[in-house]
Amino acid sequence: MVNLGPDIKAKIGMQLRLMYGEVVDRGVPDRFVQMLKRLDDPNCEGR
Amino acid sequence: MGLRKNVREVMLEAVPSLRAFAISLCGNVDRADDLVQETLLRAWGNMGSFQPGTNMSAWLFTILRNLFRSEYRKRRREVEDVDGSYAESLTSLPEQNSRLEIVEFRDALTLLPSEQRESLILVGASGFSYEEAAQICGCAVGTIKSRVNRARSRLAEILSIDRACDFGPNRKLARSQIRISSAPIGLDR
Repeated sequence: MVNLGPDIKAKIGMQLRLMYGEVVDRGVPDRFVQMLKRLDDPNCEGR
Repeated sequence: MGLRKNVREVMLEAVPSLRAFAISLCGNVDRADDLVQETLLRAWGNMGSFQPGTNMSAWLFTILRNLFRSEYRKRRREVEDVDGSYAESLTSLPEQNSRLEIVEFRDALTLLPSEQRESLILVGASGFSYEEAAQICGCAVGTIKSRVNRARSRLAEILSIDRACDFGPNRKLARSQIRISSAPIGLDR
């Protein structure tokens, strides 16, 4: 296995976080907010 | 208001990261969202098995991973993006280079064995410690460390990274510039 330098590890880490963060930044889609609301309070008619 | 308001809030907080993890596992946004939904339903229904005081986020990731793997065993296919939905969904990024870089990087990730990929993402992007990642994946800490190292090496190999600056779509440009600058002087004369 190749021994990677810290700069390459850092670069891979940065790419990884960029890819991941792009999805995280989209926030919580409404379907999940409504679903948990209904689970939490079955009487609530979440739309 | 339900008594489990706090649980609901903690679960909602975990959703963006769970989605990012799910997308990186299955490569398809719609399927990832179904996976997250199933995870939340399972977690809610099995709240009794959650140990208070432990990391709920890690618990949710464990459920999601197990669901994905059992689904995978059934389907016998792991990474798919048949409709290109992930690449198409990358519209929020303003810079073309960032989009290209992410798509290229994600494509490289899909070439890794699933155990290496999930280990690298859990530690390198989701922010879990090696210990937590080991707990999520149900293996030894040393195994996670080894998988992360192998994943990094393989990615460097796939993306042809020899130096930190030799990375992403810009490296092609950099290489073409190198070729141009190393062309014999006076060629057109």
